[in-house]
Amino acid sequence: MGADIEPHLILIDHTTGETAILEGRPVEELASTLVEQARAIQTAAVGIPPSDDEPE
Amino acid sequence: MRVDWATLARYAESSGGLATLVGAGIDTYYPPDLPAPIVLPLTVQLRGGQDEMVQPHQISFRILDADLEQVGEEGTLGFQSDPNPNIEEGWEAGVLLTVVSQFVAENEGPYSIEIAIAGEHKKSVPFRVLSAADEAG
Repeated sequence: MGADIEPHLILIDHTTGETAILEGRPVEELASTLVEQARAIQTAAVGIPPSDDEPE
Repeated sequence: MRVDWATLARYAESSGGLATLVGAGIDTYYPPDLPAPIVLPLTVQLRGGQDEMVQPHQISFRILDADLEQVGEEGTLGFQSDPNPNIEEGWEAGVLLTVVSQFVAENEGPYSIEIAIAGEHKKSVPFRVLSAADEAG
């Protein structure tokens, strides 16, 4: 299949609008930071407001 | 091309055409104080015909607050999928994008991430920011 197994993600800083693409090792390094940040801030799944999206 | 679904997670990344999501489905953040930096790992499932998917596209992400005012700047990126020779005839092609948006929440309340392709709105992903101090009180 030859699938690309390098992890990648796109960063958007909305204070500046700048975007960056991380691939490979930088993603793995960022992962622990993001998970730590997520654990530092309590999160929950509560529910969502009514959607204006068109039904498909 | 359409956005089939999009969801927030505690952490997400893409690899090999798949996405790894940790803590998917969150919709509420409780920072200890406000203003607070909020990190939004968002996974987006794009769908479309293969002929359409291999064309270059511009996908943009905006954060809106409770007054539907844009928070900070829009983030836009170019996107173009590689053709998949293994797709079944008549099937839609699909691509999973992982986007980590970062912004500063000044106030409590509802927010949303607005996803647009070529300037056309495709999906809203709602979430809330509530002060942990208020919740504890």
